[in-house]
Amino acid sequence: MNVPSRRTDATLAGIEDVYRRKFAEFVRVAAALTGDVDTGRDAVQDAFAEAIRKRWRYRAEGSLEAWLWRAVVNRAHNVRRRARRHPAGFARAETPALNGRPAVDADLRATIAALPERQRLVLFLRYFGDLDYRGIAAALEMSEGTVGATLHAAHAALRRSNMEVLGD
Amino acid sequence: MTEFDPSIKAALDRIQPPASAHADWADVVARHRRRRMYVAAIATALAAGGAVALAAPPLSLGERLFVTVEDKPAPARVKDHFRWGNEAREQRSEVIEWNRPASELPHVRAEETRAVLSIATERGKAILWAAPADDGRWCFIVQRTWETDAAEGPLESSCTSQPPRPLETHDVSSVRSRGDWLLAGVIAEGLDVELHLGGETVTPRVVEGFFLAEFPADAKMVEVVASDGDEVVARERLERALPAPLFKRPPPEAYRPVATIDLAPGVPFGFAVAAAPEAVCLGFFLGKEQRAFLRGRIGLQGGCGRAPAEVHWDVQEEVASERPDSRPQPFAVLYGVATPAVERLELTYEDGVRQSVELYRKPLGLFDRYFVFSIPKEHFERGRVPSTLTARDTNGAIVFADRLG
Repeated sequence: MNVPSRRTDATLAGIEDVYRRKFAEFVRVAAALTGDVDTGRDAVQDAFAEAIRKRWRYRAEGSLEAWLWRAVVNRAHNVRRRARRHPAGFARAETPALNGRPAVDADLRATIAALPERQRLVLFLRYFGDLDYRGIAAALEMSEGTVGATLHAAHAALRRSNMEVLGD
Repeated sequence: MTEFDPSIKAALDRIQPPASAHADWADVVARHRRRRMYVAAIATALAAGGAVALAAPPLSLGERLFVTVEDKPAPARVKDHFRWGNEAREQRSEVIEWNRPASELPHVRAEETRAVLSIATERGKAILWAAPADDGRWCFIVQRTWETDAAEGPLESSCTSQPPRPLETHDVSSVRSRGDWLLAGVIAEGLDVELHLGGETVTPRVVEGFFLAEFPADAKMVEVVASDGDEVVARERLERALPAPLFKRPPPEAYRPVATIDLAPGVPFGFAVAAAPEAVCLGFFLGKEQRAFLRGRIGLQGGCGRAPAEVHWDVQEEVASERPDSRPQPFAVLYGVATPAVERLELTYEDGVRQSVELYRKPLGLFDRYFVFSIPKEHFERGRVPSTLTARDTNGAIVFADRLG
């Protein structure tokens, strides 16, 4: 899914529009970064509250949605750093024992936790945020080439470590 | 195409399924407001050092900026000022929209009005009251009180801009402020603000993003600078527009009503004129309240002057109630002056309808024709609003024509 590149004024209505359209994705990424769904949701709410307050800082050099993704990601990172959680910060499944594969999933979690932070973040934005190269690049202020290389590296690491899981 | 691995997707979905959280925009807005109140609480603690005593000599710029944070409920008069604005907004008609866009007037939550800050002024005090608007802006009222006058001071109101700016200033000097120059400012969180007046630099106290400053009556220019650390983010140079020294405005008692119409029973709208040396001065009043007339497209500086065109006109939007407890209704009044060359005045509407505008003749100097005309409510609709004002001489020739709106 593309992050819209049209210029949008950072009005309250514009911010609210992005919030409502992408709320589920924002929470899922924030939950992955903070390690907890409730904490992730809290980070999203606080990130948007701060975005309202500082909306004058939006310079329309990229899309409003990309600017808000940065706000959410930064907020989630700050929350995790303050909480001194395990660097993985990967949300635990609500019912880990019920999926029938606790041991395999624990391996996958560990693999993800061991990824470099940038690879982990790009992975979350791709699969939980449903962003494409362009959207991830805008959100993280990096080139699309770097995004592609980072995602490719993350994929390769997961495939090397979890052939049993991903081969199913 | 963006790289995507369905097996990785399936695995991630399994170990972290989509969250069941629900969007709550009202909570986001509430968190934003709580943060502002938290900042205000900090400012309150800082400001709780006691009020400055008014000194007999004129206050310096710095003393005028001393802030006390009030902790009292807003008076009914202040809340009503917001409520009347909401009423007028809800009843906005096309002709009002044509005269002033609705985007300037958000719906204000008058019941949430509260004091933000006050400053000592040359003659008393200025209090800033603020209330949130539904569109995320803040609207505020600056109330003047006089030490030596028990009469209620004027209220000047405005709202923050949309989209927000890092710095904005609002001249809240009132006609009745007796020559003082009062400024309200809004500064984005995290920025610093300085006022530069002549060789003096002052940092006003900012409370919840608002600041107030009064400048000496003889001040001509002030610069307001907002910065983020060493980076100047915004700069405004404000010059005070003083009435032209050529014309000395007569005292209020010198004005004589030349034309009065009833917007509603018991609600007169009048046009008053006073003669000044080589000039004529215009004023208008609504109900019992005389208002000096300083602005508008009529082209007369400070309400007085000598103007070359045959007709000068303006449209005044008013909201008036027939009784104190009745719902106010909007009115749009076309008023102005004309020279002796004008024999007939005609208003044309967008739908082609034409209507004569009565001329009141009263020889008072340069102009001896005056008009005040309440635009009929049926012409408040889109497609029927006023379009052209035409003046003809005794031969029927057009001596003036102007497009309205």
